[in-house]
Amino acid sequence: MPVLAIDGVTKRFGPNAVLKDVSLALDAHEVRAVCGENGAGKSTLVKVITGLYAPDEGAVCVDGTPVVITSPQHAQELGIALVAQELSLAPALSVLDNIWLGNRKVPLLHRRQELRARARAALDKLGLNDLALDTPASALSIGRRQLVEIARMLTRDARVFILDEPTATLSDVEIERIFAALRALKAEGKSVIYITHRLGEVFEICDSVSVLRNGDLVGTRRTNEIDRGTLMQMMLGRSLGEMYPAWESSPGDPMLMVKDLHVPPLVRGFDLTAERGTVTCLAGQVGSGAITVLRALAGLTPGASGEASISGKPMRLRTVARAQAADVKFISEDRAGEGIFLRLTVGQNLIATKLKDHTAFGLLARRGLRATAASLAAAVGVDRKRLHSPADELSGGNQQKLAFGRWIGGDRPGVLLMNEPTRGVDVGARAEIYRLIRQFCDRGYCVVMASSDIEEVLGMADVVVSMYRGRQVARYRRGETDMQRILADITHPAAA
Amino acid sequence: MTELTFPAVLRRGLPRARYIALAVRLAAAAAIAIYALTTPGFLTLLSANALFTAISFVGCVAVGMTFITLTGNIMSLAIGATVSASALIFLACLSLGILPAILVALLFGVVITGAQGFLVGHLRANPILVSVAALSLLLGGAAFVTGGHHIYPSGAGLEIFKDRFAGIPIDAWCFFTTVAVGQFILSWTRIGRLMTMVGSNVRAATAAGVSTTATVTAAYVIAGACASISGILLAARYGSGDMEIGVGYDYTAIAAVLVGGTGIAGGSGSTLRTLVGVIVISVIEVVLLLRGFSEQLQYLITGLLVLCVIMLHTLGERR
Amino acid sequence: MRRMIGLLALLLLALPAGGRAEASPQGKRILVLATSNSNPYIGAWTSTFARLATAAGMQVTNLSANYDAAVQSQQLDDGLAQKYDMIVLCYVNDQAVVPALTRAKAAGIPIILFATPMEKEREDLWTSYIGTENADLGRLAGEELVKGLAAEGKTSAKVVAVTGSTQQINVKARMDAFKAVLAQHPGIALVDTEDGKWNTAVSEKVTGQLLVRFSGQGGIDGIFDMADNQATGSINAVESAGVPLGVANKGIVVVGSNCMKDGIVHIRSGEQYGTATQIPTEEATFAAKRVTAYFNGDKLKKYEIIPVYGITKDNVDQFAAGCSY
Repeated sequence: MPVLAIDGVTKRFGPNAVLKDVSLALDAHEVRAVCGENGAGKSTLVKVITGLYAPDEGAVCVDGTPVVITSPQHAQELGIALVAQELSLAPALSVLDNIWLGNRKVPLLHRRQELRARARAALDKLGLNDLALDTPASALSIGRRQLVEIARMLTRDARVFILDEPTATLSDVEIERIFAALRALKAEGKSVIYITHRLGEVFEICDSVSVLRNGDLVGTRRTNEIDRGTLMQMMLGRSLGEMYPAWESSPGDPMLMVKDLHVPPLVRGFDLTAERGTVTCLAGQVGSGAITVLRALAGLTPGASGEASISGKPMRLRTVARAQAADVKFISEDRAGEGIFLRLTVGQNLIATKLKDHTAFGLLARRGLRATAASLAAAVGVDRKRLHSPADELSGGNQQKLAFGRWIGGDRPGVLLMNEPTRGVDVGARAEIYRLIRQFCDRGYCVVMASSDIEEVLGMADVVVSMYRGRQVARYRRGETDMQRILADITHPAAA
Repeated sequence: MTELTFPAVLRRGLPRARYIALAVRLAAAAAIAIYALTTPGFLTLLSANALFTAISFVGCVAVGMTFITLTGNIMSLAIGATVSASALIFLACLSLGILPAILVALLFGVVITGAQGFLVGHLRANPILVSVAALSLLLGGAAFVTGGHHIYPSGAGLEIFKDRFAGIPIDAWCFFTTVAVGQFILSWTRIGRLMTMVGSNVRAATAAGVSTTATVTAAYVIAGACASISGILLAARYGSGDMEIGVGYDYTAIAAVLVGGTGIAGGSGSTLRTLVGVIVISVIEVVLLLRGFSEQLQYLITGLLVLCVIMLHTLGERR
Repeated sequence: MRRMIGLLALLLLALPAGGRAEASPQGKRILVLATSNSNPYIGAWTSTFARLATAAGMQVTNLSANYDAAVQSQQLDDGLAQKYDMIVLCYVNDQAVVPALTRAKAAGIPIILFATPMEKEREDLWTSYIGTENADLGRLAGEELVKGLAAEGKTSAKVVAVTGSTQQINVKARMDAFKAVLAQHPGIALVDTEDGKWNTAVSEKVTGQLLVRFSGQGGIDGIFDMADNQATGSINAVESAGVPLGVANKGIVVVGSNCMKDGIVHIRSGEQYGTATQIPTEEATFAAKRVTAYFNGDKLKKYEIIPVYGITKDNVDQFAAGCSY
């Protein structure tokens, strides 16, 4: 009998179904990978299993009995444990205290020795024999914190461990430790749900894999029955459609040159050349350094060092003002936190970078600003009637258009950097944003974007630079590559 | 059907929760107004003059504090001490002539508060901690220089401050001018806009290329100048000063700022709102006094009403 | 280093005295804890006391709590830990210092209060209060107000009080004494008491509105401001309102207290009828004298009271210098 079974679960948010009739079953001694693109429904699935979301249809069964999981605490009582990535340990407390913290089964009058012995046993099982129980959690690396977290779950008699991208920010040595721990769990008879983008890991550590796409379960296979190619097709498997604008890709003059860029601790010695009038895509997963590189070029990383030049003129890193003086414009991956001013109006957002052009002796020409805001709204396709609405009333797509709008205009075409430009943007607005990006190219801009969406990378790029852990893996011109190649590059290039 | 009876602009511009909040706010304002207007003696010139003088000193401070709040830095706890110290400096410099004395006092407020702004803006230091440090510095420095003594005018010329213009005391004129200039800066100058942007979202402002150091420093400079104006007015009116004349002005000012509806989180606000806040609090205080409530009840009711008004604002913001 | 020298000096002095070293102020370490040295009265008191006590051979440390009761408790405890020979205290909050004072009592460290005594129930916690009798100040203010009104020929009158911070014990003591005087003059009624928080601007604001409030009922005849700076505020308010002020104009009689330079000026100009001495330099001088005597073997009384004097136009010159601190 499966330890955990999900039976025909559907979850909707408003009209959108993010999980559609998903069923899967997990046995003891099984490590199950769950794969899928961003937005495929992986995290929703986890939230259903851990009691954060109630499914609209279907049920979760534990040991064959349907249960209504009401909260993460309830899930834990049922033996289902989510291993959080890093933040769940109290940094000031010792490893021992962290392991027992919040455990309801510890009696008020307990024998400290016994607790020590049990914590020690759990840590030893996971290969942490060298870790002293009295070490403060703050002294541990992220990888070790995850292992302590797993030990904590072990002492609570968890049977199903859920790990969500545990290796995204880890070094090779630490990844190996996690794998060893997972094998130990498996030998103990525990079950693991392992969510990952890295296909290499699926074949290295998992017994089986379930693939989600757009909320559908594409299928579940044993890893020894399929190969990487099959898995990738399961994950992507749809045509690119009419989403992306058509254009003639031709090389331009080199405009942005980056040499030996260092952004500690991730990026060491990164080089890049991007051409005028083209889109260069840095393709990479979380932790690949693609986003980090562009943030540094935008002047947002104080610790960055290296050489950069725009059209032959050297540009100094580390402040936004210098980057902007060199005509470098940046669209953030964190739209709500950094990309736009959510609490200001649409109009104020559009003119955020235009104030200087409409100022004389420190005074604003308000009429000119109003006209500019109106024309920018028209240029990016935001309703002019909404100029006075707060930006947070707009959809994600329209908010992103505001971020584009503020960079339209100016005398000279420059360099437009953007991170994950369509994150959280619905399909319709995506197409409009892609058109906007091409318009920047047509005006002579050099566009560089970082993206973890391979489909988008292939649809938009004149040049693709695939990245893995802070380094370039390969560089392709349009038409020289395909999804499988890029996916292989950015998931686990050593195996490719 | 009832929805159709709302004016179209209102219907589009305001979601339902905000519409309700607005209605409650109007009702509250009306209630306070009616209660005030029916208070014997409230509608007299005598009362109005006493009110205007009384609100001018803390009013100037509140205008300055608006800028600190607006840039997302909540408040400065050193403003009260800056008021006092400016008053002392003004009195001590009066022998140089009245204009130089005013300039020196203003410069002092600008420098001491601007420095806080620089630390907050440049190092992203916690504004409250920075202001507490500045407070200790001011108190310690003043105790060292004056030995805690009263300071008396070292020159003449203070009489002009006791004049009236168009029947309104000079102090009140200074306050209204401060409000107007403050509002002008916020609405019509680039730096004013940048303050709104920084206060709304520091990270987004940085990413948009706004110099947070310069912007936050500018906000504090204005706040310092306002505190000095208040100190000069106090010193001129009472002809003496000590480090205690500004005590508590920081708290009263922030209350006025919040009652006026400037958001504590920053990014929205105006000095006109602060003017309203100052008047509302003063009117409440005056009305309670005029109606003969005991002191304890005056404090209690003022506190409760201020709390209610601020809660009304947060209610209107949440959606 | 300084402490070493102090110890050495103490040792040298102790030698010829032959074991009677304890009965001498020489080298005694005194901790002076003030509410706030930014307050002119407190600042003048502590600096005068420090100067005189140092001259008498004591070592004085002066700390200010800036009205923070928690800070002051901490300062008290630090003082106990460092085994000062005496702590001279103006408390921020009478409740907050009780635990620390209890510990001081257990440690046998004498506590001298200045500016404000504590309530009778807590008398065992401190050694002596050295200062003015607050009731006397209230009484003097009441008597002067009655005299001033009499000078205008008024035996029936409406008076108001603008007080210091009302939660303070000394404020309450003064008001009680003030009311007691008025009780002997049935025609004079205290119609309102408002909190002026020892603050000039607050006092002006409050007075301004009080004038409005009673304007329909024949107006106010007299104002008791608990400190002279507050009287300045009240005088400003009265003048702004265009209401007659002073005995010469048969106007409002303003009486202050805690004499200050403002008060002296206003008494001379006739805008204020009277005030009373509370001269920090003299009080501190007296305190330094009593503390020196204590270390010389004298016993201190629970209340070491320095007499206060009423000041009106007749004797203002006598006090002008002392009040201008």
